Amino acid sequence: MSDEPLEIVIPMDLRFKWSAGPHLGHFLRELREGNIVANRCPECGRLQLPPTPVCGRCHVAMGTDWVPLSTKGTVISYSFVVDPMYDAGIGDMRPVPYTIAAIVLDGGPDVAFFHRLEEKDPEKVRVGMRVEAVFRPPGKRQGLMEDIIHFRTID
Amino acid sequence: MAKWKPTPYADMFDRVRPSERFKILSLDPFVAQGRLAMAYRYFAGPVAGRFFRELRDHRRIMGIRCRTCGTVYVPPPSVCGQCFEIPTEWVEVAPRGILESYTCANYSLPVHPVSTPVIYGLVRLDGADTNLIHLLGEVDPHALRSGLEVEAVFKEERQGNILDIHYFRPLDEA
Amino acid sequence: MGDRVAIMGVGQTDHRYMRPDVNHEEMIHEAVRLALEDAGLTIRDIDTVIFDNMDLFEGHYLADAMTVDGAGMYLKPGLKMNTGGTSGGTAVATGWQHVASGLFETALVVGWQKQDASPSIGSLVTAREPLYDRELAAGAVGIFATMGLQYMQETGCREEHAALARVIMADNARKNPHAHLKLEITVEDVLASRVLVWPVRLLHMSPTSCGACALVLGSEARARKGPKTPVWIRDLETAHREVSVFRGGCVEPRPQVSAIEVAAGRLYRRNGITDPAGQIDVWELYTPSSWALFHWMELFGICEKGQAWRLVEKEAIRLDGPIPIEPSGGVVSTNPIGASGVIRVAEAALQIRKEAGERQVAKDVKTAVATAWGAGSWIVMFYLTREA
Repeated sequence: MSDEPLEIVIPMDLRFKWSAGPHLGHFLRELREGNIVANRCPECGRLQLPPTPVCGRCHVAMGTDWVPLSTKGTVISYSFVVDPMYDAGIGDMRPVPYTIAAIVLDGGPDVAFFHRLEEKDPEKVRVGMRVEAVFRPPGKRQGLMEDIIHFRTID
Repeated sequence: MAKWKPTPYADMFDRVRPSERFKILSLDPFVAQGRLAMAYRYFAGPVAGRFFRELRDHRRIMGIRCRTCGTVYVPPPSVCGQCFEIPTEWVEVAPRGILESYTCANYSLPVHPVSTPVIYGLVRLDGADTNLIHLLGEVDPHALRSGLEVEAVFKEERQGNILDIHYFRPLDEA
Repeated sequence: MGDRVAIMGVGQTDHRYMRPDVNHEEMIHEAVRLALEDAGLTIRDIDTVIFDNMDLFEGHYLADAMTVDGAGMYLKPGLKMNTGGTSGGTAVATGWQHVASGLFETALVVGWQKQDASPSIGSLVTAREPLYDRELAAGAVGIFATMGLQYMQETGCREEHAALARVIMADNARKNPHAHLKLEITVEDVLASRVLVWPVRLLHMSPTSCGACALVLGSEARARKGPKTPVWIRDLETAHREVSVFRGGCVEPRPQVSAIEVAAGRLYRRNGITDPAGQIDVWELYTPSSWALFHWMELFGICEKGQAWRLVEKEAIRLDGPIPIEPSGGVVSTNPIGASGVIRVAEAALQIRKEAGERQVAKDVKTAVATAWGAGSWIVMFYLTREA
């Protein structure tokens, strides 16, 4: 009798429902309109992006002091994703390469916003560069992070 | 062993169908339907591996005896939980035995191997000290009773899993 | 503090990329049996079992339910832990609490992972908020990329230094018979390996490993009767950061509070440790990427901010150096995630027992720190000593 290992492969394709809640829900609805919105802690004044229900440091309710931020900002850190990677959210390989960046939006110095950069050339990306969000056309937005295609370089 | 190779990850994920990441179900409150599509593999190990190969290749149901407590387990475990010993003594048990208990599911779930009614039986095979859970077939659910003699019906096409036994059916009705 | 608790027994598998020869339970059982033998006990002497892995990575919910017999949990009290990268550390901490409370005399701690089931990245991204984070998340690699880039920009550290740290850990791993990757590599090899997320290259990242590690913990009365030198878990500390959305990552523009600094500060104060580099003889830090090592060294107070790369450049962290770190080869050489936190404690204990074989450090080890690190900068930290 063969003693080769007995291997079984089990594909799983599960659906789940996710309630964003009032704070992230507000952010996503605003994103659908082309706006990026944070909220402000009533105690320490720190902004949260995306808006959150509680300030982790002060342990108080963040409330609904919505602060619209500019869609322009400054790159404070970045990286290049070049390795092909399976993405369970789409059931397929994620297209590479792409550039990911932490961006401090004008008007929101407390928090970094993460998104892709249009620029994929490692020679041309640097800390301190100015970038601007490029949104999909209004009819094509759903209220997802994908509503922003990427951030493009501005002067 | 030399020619055996594990399934490449790419082939595992080929069994998953790509689709949209999210479907927005409602904007206020904001509710989205997301997806978690993965493929996993499981190595059965030497004990379960032998059990399923015997089933697939020889239509034999194998048990294993713990030398310390003498229990014959079907299906066979790698470790005797009571004694914490590694059982090594393989024994073939009969493909027939006694129906210890049974139940019937009248609703349908995607994980059910057959359509309703799904009739489950707990079978003590001749020579075994433990009960094997499996499906019952060729049977009227209302005619079931504990103590019924049942026998295994093997599938013609066997793949090395527990459904290589199609189901158990009553001996006296066969 | 509760009663004194000692590590009585240590057992681990040889860690590998794949274990097609065994299922989960059989792999776990290998480590459990070795730990019991090491402690001179049988499963009947064990009062409680604390069990951990990262659920979902094998595609199983309740993987503990499938492995009860092999893990020795049959009819025993116990708990299952699942706290991401720190799972192993959390399990040891929970075992310690069970014995220190006086409710149990012995505890068996079992950590494991079998990562040949699937690429772990698919399961790992489910730790992220799905609408805001998950689409952009690049797994753990991205975290270390931002750490590395930030560190180079702020300190003068270059890619060569992270590569040297990786080479030193590889040199140690080759002396550890249980290690998964036993690479013979040079700084040039590391710099030539392909970029995953710049500046993190393939050789900078921990592998996906299969393996298990078990510890037997005992009360003072029990430990003194055991065949092996008791290694005392003198103290432990845990701390968490905020909710782990991206803002909880490593690139807040404002100076951030580090859970590691907070935990280390509390533990050092309680134990009169004012000079960690001088008072701790060996370090088993949970370093999933060589790029994390510099941050860890500075946050644990081994050196001043911005100086860790200079210590690495001087090769002070080698087995025969003044500050030996990761003598086992570390997480970058071996990472069966749920076991990794337990392995850190086990390896530190072997150093104190002077049973680490070829990977035994040159110093006379009286004290050690072992840690586990994971999701959202969650830290579990252990202070081990030879003297009770």
